[in-house]
This record gives sequence, C-alpha cells and structure tokens, in this order.
Amino acid sequence: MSSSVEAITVLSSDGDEFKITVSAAKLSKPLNWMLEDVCFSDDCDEVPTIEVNSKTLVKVIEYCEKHAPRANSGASDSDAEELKKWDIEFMKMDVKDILFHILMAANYLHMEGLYDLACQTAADLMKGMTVSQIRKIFHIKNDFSSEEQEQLRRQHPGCSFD
Amino acid sequence: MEGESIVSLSNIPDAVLCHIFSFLEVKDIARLKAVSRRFQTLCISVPSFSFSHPRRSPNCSCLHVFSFMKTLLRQRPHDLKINILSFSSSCIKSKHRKLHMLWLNRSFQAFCVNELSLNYVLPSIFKGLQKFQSLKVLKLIMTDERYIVKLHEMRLASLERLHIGGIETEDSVGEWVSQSFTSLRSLFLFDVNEAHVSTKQSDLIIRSSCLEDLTLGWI
Repeated sequence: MSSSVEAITVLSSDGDEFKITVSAAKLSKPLNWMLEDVCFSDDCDEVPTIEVNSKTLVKVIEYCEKHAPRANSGASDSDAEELKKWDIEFMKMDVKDILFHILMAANYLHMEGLYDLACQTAADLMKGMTVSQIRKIFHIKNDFSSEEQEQLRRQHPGCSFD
Repeated sequence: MEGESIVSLSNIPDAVLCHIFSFLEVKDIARLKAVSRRFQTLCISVPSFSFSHPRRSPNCSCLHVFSFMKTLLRQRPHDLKINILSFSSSCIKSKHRKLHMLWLNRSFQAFCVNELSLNYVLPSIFKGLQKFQSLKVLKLIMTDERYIVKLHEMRLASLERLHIGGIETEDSVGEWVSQSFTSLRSLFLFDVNEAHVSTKQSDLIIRSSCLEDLTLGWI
C-alpha cells in the first residue's frame, strides 16, 4: 500500500461506490483492517464491499469525516462543544427510515462513538412515551395475554400502560 | 421495496437493545417491560439502572420505583451482575431515604454490583458500606447540600475507584484513605473539608501501595 493514498473507494451493499479518506476510515476497526489488507494502488481493481446500504453509508461516512480530525489529533474543548452540537443535528432523522440502520452499521463497523450516539438517540425517543406509543412507532406486536397484562398493571400501579 | 432491507426493532439483537435500554431511567424501563414479552425479558437483564428524582418535588415516585425494582430484581437471575446503580436528586422524605437504604442493602445481598453513584447521603450508608463487598467504584459527590460526615466509619477493602465531594469531616482524609481502602487505585477528591484544620493549610498524606491516579479539586 502506497503511503500517498489519501482516500479509498468502497462499495455499499447496493453496489454503489463511495470515497472515504484514510483518516476517516481509521475510526472503524474493520475499515482499518481493510486498509492494511487490501492494496490500494491504481492498478489494483479490488474494491472492498461494506455490508451497509448506500443511504446509511453516506451518513456513516459523513460522521467519520467530521469526527476524524479530532479523533486523530485531539482538539480543544470548544471544538468538542461544536462537535456535540453537530452530533445532535446529525441525529435528527427519521427513526424507521435510518436510525436503526445507522445503529446496526455502527455496531458492525465497531464505531463506539457513533454506536453510543445512535443508542442514546433511540433511548431518548422512548423516554416519556406510553406503552402503546412505543409499540406503534417501533412496530411491536403486543403479545401479552389479557391476564398477563392485568398482572403487570397490578405489579406496577404507578405506571401507565395505555 | 427491492434492495431495501428494513431494520425494525425486531431485527435488532438483544445485546444492542439492552445497550439502548441502559441509557434509560428506571421509570422508563418500567414502561418498556409492558411493551412485549421480549422487552420484558430484556428489561430484567439490563446491565445498569439509573434513577433521578425531580428536584425538591413534593410528588415523589419513590415507592413506585422501589416496588418496580423489587419485582424486577426478584425476576433477575442472581448470577447476572449489575454494572452501575446510579441515583441522583433524592426524595427529601426521611422515611423514603430509609426505604432506599433498605433496598440498596437487599440489592447488594442478592447481586454483584460493580458501581454505585449517589449525590446525597442515605441513613447509615457510611457504616453500611462494608456490606457492599462486590463494589469496585463508588461516586459520592454531594450537590444538593453539604454534609458533615464521619469518614472513618466508611471502609471497603474491595473498592478500586472512589470519587467523593461536597462533604465536611473531622477526620484526617489522608489517614482515612490509607486505612480504609486498601485496594484503591484511583481517587478523586472534590470540595472535601477537614473541619479541624480549617484555618491552616492541611497536609494530605496517603500511604498506599496500589494508588495510581489521584485528582484533587479544592480540598
């Protein structure tokens, strides 16, 4: 691998090509291993595939590129503050559409920062929701029998289960 | 839709869901338990529990929370460790604080608890600490009010990390740390006042063979 390589090309699970800079790819362990294993010279036609769909991969790469400078060099507190604000904006997305894809991708790519951020976002969504709202938004079937439901109500009188 | 994989909550592995749940407070977990059978099973094995009481609120939910936790822990397999128990902003009713301490004692009897975090003093927490034999990390940073405490009553040989702050004591902090926490590797002291040396500069002398990390803020 030539040391002059600054960006690599990867394929999404949909077969689309994406460029990611080497410093950003280092945020993910599996991507880092790919960097070491695959030859990235011009005459090499092997392009590694990442098992993440295109829509999700765009977001993951966006996150990596934003966080790479700080992860690689360390930065001041004001940068950290700015990055936190950026993270909040970044996470404003449709749940069913993409949040869970990002969560699974971060898990698969061993990206701790993004994984925790996505889990926190999912948890924040559940805060203060009623049981039926949670079932509705996450498409979960109520598989309790009416007796079990009654028992839950009796066990936890302080909670509203509607 | 072709080529589009749908990720919904039901495709997400248990470990990932448990990680999401660990960002929630006990009162949210209580609700999640009623969502589905799968959620119920996962709620029982969440690694960490946190609870914060609305500050100075007269309408407390302590009793509901403790009754929920009692049921939850009764169903939890006893070999499953609890990573963190975190409580902030306690209820001001002394009866409830007693109940809280009773509940803590029972939890420590039944489970290995790795970390405990509190920002208020519970009755006999200092004397009672010796019974929390599994505890490795203790964070006691008082933010609501200042407490005058007998530090020498508090000892625990298993403790590896201690954060303590917002207290006043008549004991010598150095002596206390040296004698009470023989396995301590990391110590964070913040706003700890030794009452008897308030007028002159106090010396902090800690004798320890394993302390690696010491952070002092305004002692």
